[in-house]
Amino acid sequence: MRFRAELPMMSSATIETRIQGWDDKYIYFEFLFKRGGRAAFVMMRKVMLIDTRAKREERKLSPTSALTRLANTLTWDDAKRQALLRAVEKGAPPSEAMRTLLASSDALLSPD
Amino acid sequence: MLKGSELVGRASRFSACPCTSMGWQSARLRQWLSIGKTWGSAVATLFLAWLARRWQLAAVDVASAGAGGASGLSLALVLGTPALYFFLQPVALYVVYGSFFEFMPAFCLQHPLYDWLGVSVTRLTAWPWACDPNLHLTNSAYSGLCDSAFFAHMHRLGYLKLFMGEGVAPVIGSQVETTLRSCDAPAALTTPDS
Repeated sequence: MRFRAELPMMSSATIETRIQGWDDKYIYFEFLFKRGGRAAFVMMRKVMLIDTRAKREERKLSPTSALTRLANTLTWDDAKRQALLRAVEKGAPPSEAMRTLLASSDALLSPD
Repeated sequence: MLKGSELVGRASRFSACPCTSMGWQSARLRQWLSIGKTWGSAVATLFLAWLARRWQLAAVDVASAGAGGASGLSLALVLGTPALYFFLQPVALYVVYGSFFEFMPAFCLQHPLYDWLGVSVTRLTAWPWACDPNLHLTNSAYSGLCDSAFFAHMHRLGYLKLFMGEGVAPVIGSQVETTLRSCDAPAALTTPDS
């Protein structure tokens, strides 16, 4: 982490949250803090969805299956659900820079 | 800050929307949340200055009793914060659950998102209880705010139904934070840029 700026007290800002993409294991999120219309802070996060009701070995959900299950919650609008399912099949790989950055932070905790 | 005429204009502008009252309430809520920007900041600054003055005077007594070396304000904060939590338990509870109440509109008043790569915009305010003695948003608050924004975004994508119905929960693999630019704070209080 590198902190060079802060948000002063009582100042307002916005967080723009978006999914940057997904690979075979994680969904990559980006949180962009904007103050006065200008970017001030970025947090990148990779998230895995797990099925807490499944057996321990089967808990990890691939992003594709998780997003498919997420799209299937839209039971009231079939057209939008089909569009989301097509987008899942098409895939959205995250940027290589983002994947490398998060992988390098993981390497800090590797046993070697 | 929004004015009354702007609120009326906003409400009439969204009259075709099925969430007319929601749009109006959202504007009122945002108005309420930003009220502290002018009067609230002045009152909070005076209050904090008064507290700092009291704490510093108390710290001088402690320092003269043999605890020298620590700065007056930091020592006063260490001594004064538990007392503040003890005597103001309701305030402490609001500090703990404050982010929920602050981000409740983000959970309730936003429309569903039908695009995996779409954007959710969540508004935040750097409240005094989320600030460090330097009067800036504390570093740990960024992660908490990102959590709130994350769940608001997932809620828009339909996550709540998946969580309640099928028990799917998110687990963070790793996260990386980068600060991009400085803010216009008093120069004497800021950390020099590296």
